[in-house]
Amino acid sequence: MRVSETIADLVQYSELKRIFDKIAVLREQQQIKSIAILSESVGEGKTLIATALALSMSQLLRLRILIVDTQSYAHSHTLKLTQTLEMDELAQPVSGVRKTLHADIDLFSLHAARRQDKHGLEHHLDALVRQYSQEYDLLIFDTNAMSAINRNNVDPLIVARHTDTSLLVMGRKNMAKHLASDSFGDYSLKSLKVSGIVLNEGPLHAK
Amino acid sequence: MQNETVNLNTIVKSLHGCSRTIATIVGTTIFIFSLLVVVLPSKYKSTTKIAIQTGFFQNPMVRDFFPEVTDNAELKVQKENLIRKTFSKEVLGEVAEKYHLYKTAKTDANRQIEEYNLLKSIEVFAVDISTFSLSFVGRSPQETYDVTNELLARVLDSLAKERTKNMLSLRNSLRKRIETMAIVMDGVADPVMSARPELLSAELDRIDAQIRALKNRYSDKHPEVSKLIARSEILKRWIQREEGGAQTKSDSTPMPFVGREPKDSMMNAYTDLLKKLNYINIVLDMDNASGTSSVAILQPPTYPTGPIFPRLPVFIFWGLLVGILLSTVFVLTKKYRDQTRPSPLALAEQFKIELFGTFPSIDWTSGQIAPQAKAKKGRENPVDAWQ
Repeated sequence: MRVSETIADLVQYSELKRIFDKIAVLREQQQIKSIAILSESVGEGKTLIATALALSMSQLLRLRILIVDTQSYAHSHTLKLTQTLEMDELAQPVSGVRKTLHADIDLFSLHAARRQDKHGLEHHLDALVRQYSQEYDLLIFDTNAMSAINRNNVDPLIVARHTDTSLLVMGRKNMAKHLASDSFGDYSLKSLKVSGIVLNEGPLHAK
Repeated sequence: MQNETVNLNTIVKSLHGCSRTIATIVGTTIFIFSLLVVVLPSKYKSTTKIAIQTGFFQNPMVRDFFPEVTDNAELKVQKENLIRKTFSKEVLGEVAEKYHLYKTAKTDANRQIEEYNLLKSIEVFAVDISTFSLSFVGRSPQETYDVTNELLARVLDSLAKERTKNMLSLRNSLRKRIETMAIVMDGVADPVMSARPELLSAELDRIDAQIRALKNRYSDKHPEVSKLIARSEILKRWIQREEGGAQTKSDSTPMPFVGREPKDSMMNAYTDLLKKLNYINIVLDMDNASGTSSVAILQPPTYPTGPIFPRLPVFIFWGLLVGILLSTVFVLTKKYRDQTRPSPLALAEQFKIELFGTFPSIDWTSGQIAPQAKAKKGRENPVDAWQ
C-alpha cells in the first residue's frame, strides 16, 4: 500500500477525526485561513500531519486546500509531500502550484518558487498568503524543523508569524527532551500563535 | 509527569503484565548459557586421599631424636608442606613432558605461565590432621586420571625418600659420633665393632703425620712422641685385626685402649648411641622391606565421570538467575520510564496550549493504525483518556 493511500485511509479513523474536528472548530471560530505546521526536530511528523489535515479538511468539510511546502530539502528518512499526496503528473504547474489527484488539494513548493526569487520568499509571505487565501479556503504550511540550521532554509518561525495560527507537532520520543529544554520555551510559542499541539505516537522516522 | 510511587505491589503487577517479555529474556539467557556449555572447554577432576600418620615424624624407637610436635595445626602444616614439596619445577616438568601438558617450548616466555597453571591445577588440602586430599584438574578424563595417578606415585615416593633421607642423616651423625667416641675413649668393649676401617686408617695417617712432625725436633723418647707411637701401634693392630676377619675378631684377648681412661658417663652415652644406631638400622631395614608404613592411600584416584566445568544443570540455573534478573531490571526500568515520561497533558499545561490529540502510530506495511499502539494504551481511547 502506498503512503498516500495509507494516509487517505487513516483520516477515516476516529482518532484522527477528533483531532481535525478541533482544528476545524478553531478555524470556524477564529476565521483561520492559514496554518503553519511546526515541530522542533526533523522527522516528528509535520508532513504526515499536514497531509492528513489537508485530506481531512477536504474530505470532511469540502474545503479547497493549498499545501505550501517550505522545506528546502528533504531528509532521506522522512516523508515528502510528493509521497504523501498523489500528484497529477499530467497537469502543468501554474505559478508554482501543482495539482494533485485529490480534487480540492493543490501543492505549492516555496523552494521551487524561490529559485526564481533571489531575495527569498520569507519577505513576501504576506503577499503569498493574501494571494492564495482568495483562491483556497485553507493554506497549510509544511515547514522546516525549528532546530534545523541551514542557510537556505525558509525559517519556520518567520513562516509561523505570517500565518493565522500554528500547529505544533511533537514526537512522543522527543517529548521529554522538549519539556526539559529551556530553548524550546524560548521560541515564545504565544508569539507564534500556536493554537494547539498534536502528539505523534509514531516513530520519528517513517518507513 | 506522573509520580506514581513504586512499591512491591506495582512491581509484582508490572512483572505479571510483562510475563511474555520475561519468558523471552529468561529463555534467551538459558539458551545462551546452554550454548556456553558446548563452547567452553571442559575440565575434569580426579581426586585421591592419602593419610600421613604421626609416626612418619615420630618413630617410637628413635623418638628421642625427633622433636615432639604436640600442636596439631603445626603437624598438619608440616605434612601438607611435605606433600607440596613434591611438586617441584623438575617433577612438574617430567609429568608435563610425559602427558604432554605443556604446549609451549622450554624456552618460550609463556612456559612459566603454563608451569604456574599446572601447579594451580593441582589441589592439596587437609581433610583432617592426617588425611589429605590430592586432586588434579585436567582437560580430558583419561589424562586427568593418569596424571593424578602419577602425582600420587610421586608424592608417595617423595615422602618415602624424605623419611629415608632424615633417617640416614641421623644415622650418619650417630655413627660419626660413636666412632669419634670409640677412638678417644678408653674401656670400650670392642671399638672395632663400630669403627670403620677407613676411619681407623685416617686416624692412623693423622697420628703418623703428627709423629713425623714431632720427630723433626724431638727424639723418640719424648713423652708426647712415645705416646703417639703407642697409639699408632694400637691402631695398626686394630686395622690388622679388622682386615684379618672373623677368626681374629673372635680372639678373646682384650684389645689395648687408645685414649684416656673411660668414665662411666661417657660409657653410658656410648652404649646408648650404639643402641639407637641399631634401632635406626632396624627402622631403615623395615622401610626398605615394606615401604613407609606411616603413609597410606585411603582412596585411590577416581576416574572422572563428568566434567566439573562447565556443567549443564549449573549453567541452566545461572541462565535462569541471570534471565530473571535481567528481565526484572528491564521490566522495572521500562515501567519507571513509562511512569516518569511526561504526559501530553503536562506538556499542554506547561506551554498553556491546547492538546488537540495524539496521532497514533501507523503500521506502514499494512496501512493501519499499529495494533501495538492501541495495545499500549489499553482499552481506553488514548485521546479520550487525556481529555
